Order: sequence, then C-alpha cells, then structure tokens
Amino acid sequence: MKASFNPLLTVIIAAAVGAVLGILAVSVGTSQLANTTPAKVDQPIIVYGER
Amino acid sequence: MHRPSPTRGPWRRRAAAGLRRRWPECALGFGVVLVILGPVLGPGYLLRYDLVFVPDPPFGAMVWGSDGALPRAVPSELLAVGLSRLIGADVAQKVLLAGALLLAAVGAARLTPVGHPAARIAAGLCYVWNPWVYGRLHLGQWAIIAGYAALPWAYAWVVGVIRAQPAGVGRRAAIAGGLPVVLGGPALVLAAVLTCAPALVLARRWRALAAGGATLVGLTLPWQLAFLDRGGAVDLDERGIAAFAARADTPLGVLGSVLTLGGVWNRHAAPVGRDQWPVALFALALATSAVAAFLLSRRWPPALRWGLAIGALLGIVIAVAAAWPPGERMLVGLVEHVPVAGIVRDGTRMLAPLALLQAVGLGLLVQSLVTSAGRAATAILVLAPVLVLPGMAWGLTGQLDTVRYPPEWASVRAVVNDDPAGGSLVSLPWSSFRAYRWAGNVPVLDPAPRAFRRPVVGDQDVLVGRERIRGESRAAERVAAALAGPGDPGPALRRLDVRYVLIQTDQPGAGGLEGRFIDADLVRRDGALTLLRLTGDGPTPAQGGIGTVPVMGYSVLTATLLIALLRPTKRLRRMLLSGHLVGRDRQ
Repeated sequence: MKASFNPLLTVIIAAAVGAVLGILAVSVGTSQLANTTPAKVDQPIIVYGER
Repeated sequence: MHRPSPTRGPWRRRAAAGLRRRWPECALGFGVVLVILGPVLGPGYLLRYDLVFVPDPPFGAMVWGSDGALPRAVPSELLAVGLSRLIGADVAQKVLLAGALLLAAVGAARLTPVGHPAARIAAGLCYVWNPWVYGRLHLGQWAIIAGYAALPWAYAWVVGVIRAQPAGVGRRAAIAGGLPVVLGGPALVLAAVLTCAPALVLARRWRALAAGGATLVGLTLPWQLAFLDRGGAVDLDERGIAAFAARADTPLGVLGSVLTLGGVWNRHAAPVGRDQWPVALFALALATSAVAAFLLSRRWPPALRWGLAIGALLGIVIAVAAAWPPGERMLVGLVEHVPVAGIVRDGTRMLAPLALLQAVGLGLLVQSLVTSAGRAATAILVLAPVLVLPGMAWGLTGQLDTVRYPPEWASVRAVVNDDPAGGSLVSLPWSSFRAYRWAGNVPVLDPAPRAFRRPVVGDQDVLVGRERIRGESRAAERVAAALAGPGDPGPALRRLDVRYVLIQTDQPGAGGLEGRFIDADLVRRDGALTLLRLTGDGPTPAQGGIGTVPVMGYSVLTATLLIALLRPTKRLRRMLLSGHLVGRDRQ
C-alpha cells in the first residue's frame, strides 16, 4: 500500500516533538542552572554589560 | 491563448511538494522557534539591551539615519517600523525574531549537501543553537541575528554559481534568503563577504564576485549615504576596542572559547555552564569534529570547502585580534585612521562564517554516521548542540520575558508627535540605557529615540563595567556640554534647537532635574514621565520631511531588491545577483 503524506500533520507533530525535546533539555540542564541567578540587574545600575 | 506552463502547477501543489522535500528543515525551524521563543510569543514587548520596540513607532529621524548618531539602525529599523505599522509592534518584534531563527535553521539545513533528514536537522540545529546565537539573543540584537540567518542562503547562491547549477526556484530562494544580510548592518555585511568571497575567488568567478559586490553596495547605500551625510568621520573611542574584545568564557582561553563560537564580550551574555571543564571540552570536541568532517568531506568541490574555511579563519583572526595586545594596538591604529573600521569592534560577530562551517560539518558527520553507527549515537550527535547548551531553551531559561509599556508613554508620545513645530527632544537622565522596574530592571536602550518622530538627543556613551565608552554623536556632545553648565540649561538647549525635554523620573539620577529648567513650560507630568517645553528664542522651524539623502539611499536599495527578486527583470537580475554569467567566468 502506498504511504500517504500529510505535510501539515508532519509539521505539527515535529513541532510538538521539538517542544518536548526542548523541555527535556531544560530539565536536563536544571541541575546545572539551579544554583545560578538570571543575568538581570537587581539594582538599577545601568551598565551595558560587564566583561 | 493562455497555456499553463507544464513546470508550474498551482502554488498549493508546489508548496506541498516543497514541504514534502524540505519537511525536516521546516519542522526544525518551527521547533526551534517554539522551544527558544516559546515563553515570549504572547502579547507584550521583549525589552532588553539593544532590543527596543515601542508601540506605534513613527518613521522618525532614527529610521532614516538623520538623527546625528551613527546610523546603526539603518536599514533594519525601517523594516521594524514598517512591519510594526502593519501588524503591531509587539507582534512585529516576535515575527522578526522568530523569522530570523527560522531562516537560520532552514537555511543551514538546506545548504548542507546531505540526504538524510537527521543530517540536515543536525546542521540546522547546530547553526541556530550555539553560544553565538545565545549571546546575540541575550543582548537583543535581532538585526544581527537576521543578518546571520541570511548567510547560509548567501552561501547557497555561491554553491549554485560554482557548481553552475541551472537557474530555478532553488536559486531564487537562495537569493531571496541571502538579501536579509543587509539587516545586520556593516558588520554582518563584512561577515557575508568573508563567507562568500574566498570561494568565488578560488573558483575564479570574477563576474559573480562583482555581481555580489554590486548587490551589497546597492543594499547598503542607505547606510553609506547616512554615514557620509553626517560628515563621514567617526571619532570612535579607542577604549571600545578592549571593552568589546573577545573574552574567555570557557577554561579553554580566548581561542578555545572563540573556536566553540563563544567569547562574547559581555560576561552575562555567555551561557551558563561553559566555564565548566566537561562542558567546554565537549563543546571543543564537537567543534573540532565538525570542522574535520567539513574539511575531509568531498561532497563539495575544493573551492567551496576551502573558501568557507578561509572565511572562517579570517573571522577567527578578527575575533581574537583585540584580545591580543599587539592585535589590539593594530586595531586601535586602524580605527583612528579608517572611519568605518569600527565595525570590527565586538569582533566575535565575525565568527558567523565559522558557525556556518561547523553546522555544515556536523551535518556531514551525522550523514557519515547514519549508516555506520547506531541510531542512539546518531541521535546524540544530532542533539549535541542542545545537550551542550541546554540554557538556550525556553527563552534562555526564563531570561527573556515580555512586558507592557506604562500608559504615560502613549500620552506623551501623542503630545510630542502631534506638534507640527520642529526642534529636537532631549531625553533625561543623561544615560544611554534605562533600567525599568516594570521591565525587570534589565538594561535596555532608551526607547525615546524610537518613540518620537523628531530627532531625540540622548547620551550615546555606554558603560562596560566601570569603563565609559564615549559615543559618536556630535549633537549629543553639544547637549551634554549645555547640561553640564551651571544654572538653567534651557536657553543653551534652545540655541541647539531643542524644543522638548523628557525626564524619566523613575530612573537613577532623575532627582532634581526638573527643577533645573526654571523657565520651561510643564506640558505633562504623567506617571514616571515629565515633559517640558523650552521657551525663549531659538530656531524652531517646522518639522522637516524625510530628506533627500534617505530617499536616494532607499530608492537604490528598493531598485536592487526589485532587480534581485522580480522575474520581469531577469536580465538585470542576472547581471547583479545570480551569477549566471558563470559560463563567461569559466571561459
């Protein structure tokens, strides 16, 4: 039997798989990231960045 | 009688056929957009560092590059404002960011000469999921990412030229995909030259080289003219060379960091975990494996392989030069004598060709493993970019967030933009960056220059750590001198054609500012914004139009785009872009 191809369904499934993989990646990296703070400036010190 | 072309079916059929052939790239593109930008795809504005979109932005002086500052936002700001007027600025912002990531992933996957879907996905994923893109996303440099995204398409055009492939949909797609490189400004245009020129030179495709060069000149003319219109000379602060130099964000030193596509000058823009030995070594092993696979593969002719390798090597040299004392001295000397040499400041932007090489190399590596190794090993290699940099997922692990502007911005903007009288607006406190509590106190460029139609004069200096890097705007220097004087600065500012003063009272240093303007009229005090109108004598002509210079520049840009993209001008397009004179090149 010839296989049929549904491009839209494929894209949706692939996007869902991509999202799941991303969430998985976040959870994998959680142990590394748990003890770090996001790079937001707590006080309004307006520097462009620090080396 | 009209006869349907046998090669052209209905667009739906062609789209379905394209999707059937390119489904791995498309799935990857949409997947990475969802995974990376998922948390910020809702309503609201993403405000951080260089990423500033405002509601209902006008086609103001900044868009045309006529505000006296370096025309860094030309021509990307025109696209941003134009799209914002069509679909709303917050939606436009997401569309541009998502479009850039999609273009990058699809472009790299499409470029890589492999057949297996996993290999194409590996290439696309590697190109979009790396420390380089992480750093630029962190810094909010959407236009730089858009230029980066165009590089695989531009190189696909080079591949078509060198392989003398027949013209068709693929060639047209490569040209269309390559054109956004101009959004990245002069730095990414230079990166495109580094990427494409060596291969064309090695293959002796001189006409194609000239055609590509002419196209880039046409596309960048708005920037060039705006640059010349402000005098051409740039007094670039030489301390910026060291401040924006590559830094080691891994234990592997500057060179090792750069080879793994990191080394961004800002420590906060480096992905978390790269300072750990295992992560750094894994990243280095991945990078060297990809480079080796690229160089050893025979799927491209030598000119394509060695051309991209030369471009990547030149990019590495530029990136590390400022971090090496003799190189830093050389760059300082260069910047002093060549006005546009400042584009090599923040040299890690020149690692884009290396990123492309590594992405293609990883795709080739996966292709070779598909048949020889097991599925598990192949899957690990495909996902290796994600495994080594998990912090890129979900809005850089929660760092990207959306906010809404307080309502006072709309009311103040309406007052100022409805005033037909000319004159500029000075934004205070005197600081190029803002940190809004309602935006998480993340540093962000002052939104005022984008919110008002008239020229906005604000501080152009930037603070890198404790180092103040002087800006390049002469108008800003004059206003700063007026503000530095004792007493009411109003009269001095009026003589500089300043009509309004906007004080953002929720910012550090705002206390007492309003009291200095003794004779100014209070127009509006709303929330954290205070708007003053200066009184007294001063040149306040009616607001001018766009100006001749931007009209000329954008006319040439539009003509270049039309020649490149429209079929009726096929002949001109051939002359300018597609390198179809390959046959003559080869003779």
